[in-house]
Amino acid sequence: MVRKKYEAWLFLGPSLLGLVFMIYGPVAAVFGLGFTHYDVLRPAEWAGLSNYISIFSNPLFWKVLWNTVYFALGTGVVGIFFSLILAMLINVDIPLQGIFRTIFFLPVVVSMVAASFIWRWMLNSHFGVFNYLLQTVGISGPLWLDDPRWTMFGIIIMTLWKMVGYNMIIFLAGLKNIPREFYQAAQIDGAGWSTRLFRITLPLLSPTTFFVIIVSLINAFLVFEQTYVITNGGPANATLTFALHIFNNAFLYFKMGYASALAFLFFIIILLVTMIQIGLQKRWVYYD
Amino acid sequence: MKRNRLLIVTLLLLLAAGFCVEAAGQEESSASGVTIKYMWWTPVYEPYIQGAIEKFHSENPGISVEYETLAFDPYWQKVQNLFAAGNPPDAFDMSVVFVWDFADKGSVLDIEDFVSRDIDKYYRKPIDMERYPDAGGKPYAMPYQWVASMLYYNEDAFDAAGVGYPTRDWDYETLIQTSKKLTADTDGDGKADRYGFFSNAAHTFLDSMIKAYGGEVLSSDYSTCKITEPAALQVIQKCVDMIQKDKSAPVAASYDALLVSGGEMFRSGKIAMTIDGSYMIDSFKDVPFEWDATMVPKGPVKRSIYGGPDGISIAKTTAHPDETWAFVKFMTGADRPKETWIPGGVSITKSVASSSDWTDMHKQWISEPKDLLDAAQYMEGADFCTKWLEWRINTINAELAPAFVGQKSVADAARAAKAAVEKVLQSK
Repeated sequence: MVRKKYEAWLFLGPSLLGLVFMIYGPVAAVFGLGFTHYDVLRPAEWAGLSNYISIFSNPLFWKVLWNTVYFALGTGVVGIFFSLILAMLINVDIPLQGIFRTIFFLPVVVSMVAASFIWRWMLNSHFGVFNYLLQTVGISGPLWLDDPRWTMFGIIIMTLWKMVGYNMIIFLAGLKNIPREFYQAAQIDGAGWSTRLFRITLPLLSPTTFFVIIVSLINAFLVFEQTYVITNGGPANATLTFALHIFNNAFLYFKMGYASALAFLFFIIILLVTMIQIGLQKRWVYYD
Repeated sequence: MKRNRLLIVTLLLLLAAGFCVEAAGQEESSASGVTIKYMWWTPVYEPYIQGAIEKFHSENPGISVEYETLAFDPYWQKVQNLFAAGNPPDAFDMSVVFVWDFADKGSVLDIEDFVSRDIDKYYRKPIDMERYPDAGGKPYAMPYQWVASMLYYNEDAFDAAGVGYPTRDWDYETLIQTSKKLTADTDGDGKADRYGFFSNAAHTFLDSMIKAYGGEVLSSDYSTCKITEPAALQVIQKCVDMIQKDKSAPVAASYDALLVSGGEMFRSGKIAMTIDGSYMIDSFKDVPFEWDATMVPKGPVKRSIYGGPDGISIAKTTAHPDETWAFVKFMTGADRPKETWIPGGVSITKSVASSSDWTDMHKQWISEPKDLLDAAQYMEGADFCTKWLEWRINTINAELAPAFVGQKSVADAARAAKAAVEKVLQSK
């Protein structure tokens, strides 16, 4: 028995060591560095809570937080809605259903960085494709990447195009799992499409929806590539999101201690949002 | 049971073999004499740098140079990580943007003794920009070249408008008036298809215009932001008016640190003139129209031209300072291969800069390369100091952007910028 336990630990060892040194260890290090002034080139100096005080008293932090929440609502919540609509449309038995599924899923497999470079040109205020097409129908397009009021909206559109196919596939799998007998019985009882949608489809799809919301919101909060490549956080910090703000402080401003405090705060925020969602699931998620 | 023991022993042997290979590699490099490590950005020049290093090896058989190159952004992340790990490169390319940060933190060697031996051979101003904590301090990087802003102009656009080309006698008022004549609606839809100028808040343009009008961006002790003072406000208002009132410049917020959008618009023929670094010559080489460049206009008080060096620094912890300096001197001197000269870059060594090779190279693209060489006497930096990237690129640009897109008054934007910049300057 002792030998079996020993061998079990030996085989688990590499994975456990990886967890400790690659995940838990760095998280603990980031937590510790958040209490220091550390510019990478010199040893860290103890700073107590000054990084956190500096964060909360900096107006830029609240702007960054709002930008990230705006993006998360735009892509996480609105994106889920579009994905569900698409999944329900694709779920209808029509010819070439597979081709439509492929077309909507294709953007997902494109690298986000490559897509961001292309969209940077497409959204260009002066010679981008979008404004050119709008002009052909007599509409003067907005300054997508130059007007702080429109830039985040442009990036949200780009992200929806890129990611809606992924959630669509997950919803499609969930829809396929709903037994047809429920719909047949409902139709026999005279239920219309809205009754079937709100009384059968959405409740039985709720575990899938719950999973999609959790994952989508976490991914939305972690946005980086689009804002880094397309606008680098501008104009006027309109697209400066949390991850990019951490990156700038850590690697451009030599403020690794401050960036570590930001990163840990970011972790707590995402954790809180996720825990709230888990707590609320009892009210609307139906498991068999 | 036997199979499990065999598996465990095999895994342990593989692990031990890995350590042995690493140790053998280290023994091999230390056996071949002094080895120094050099890093630079711009990977596209690797064949030429490799050629230069091979030439250095042949002239210095006791010194071996290991090198690595990365693109600009990942380069700085790796350099910082190497410093943090206590294993920095002996020599590495240094941007004037970061030299104060590295010098302030005691990470790079002051090279005053090395530089002063041959100081008369070099352009002084770019070397002075590498000095910390001010122009009277010691240099912490040896430039191999310097660049300066130029006024680029689309000759075809000027011909179409019937306007004479810019000359070095221009002032900013002439530029502003001329840009109105060059703005054209070529397809008759009531909107400008070509603008006269690209007006923006980039340091390559705005800072030198403010100085030309007698203003400053930062105080001389780098503690106070001065863009709310009358001269600076006047200049920013003129730049905003070109966009919002004259409509001779497109609306464009400077969201990109390198302000690529100005270059993009010039390349696509959307703007007739732009002021940008001389390194943009490389980007404009293949544009489908005739173009040229001349000296940046003067202001009512003086002519000020943004410029700065690209250099090589030596890590303070290098175990081989003399050998590393020998390499740095080679790479910054007349022996640096001309294939590594970038269009628009001027060698720090005066004899190389004034050579027929350099002039002939640049005559392919600009009619008067001397306009670039003569910019040296008017060259001023952009108040490079610690935290420069944070306060100049990401703070001033962000706070002035609403004024440039017409959403805030210049005075309000400048006040917000001053407050934000001083917060950065005072932060630890």
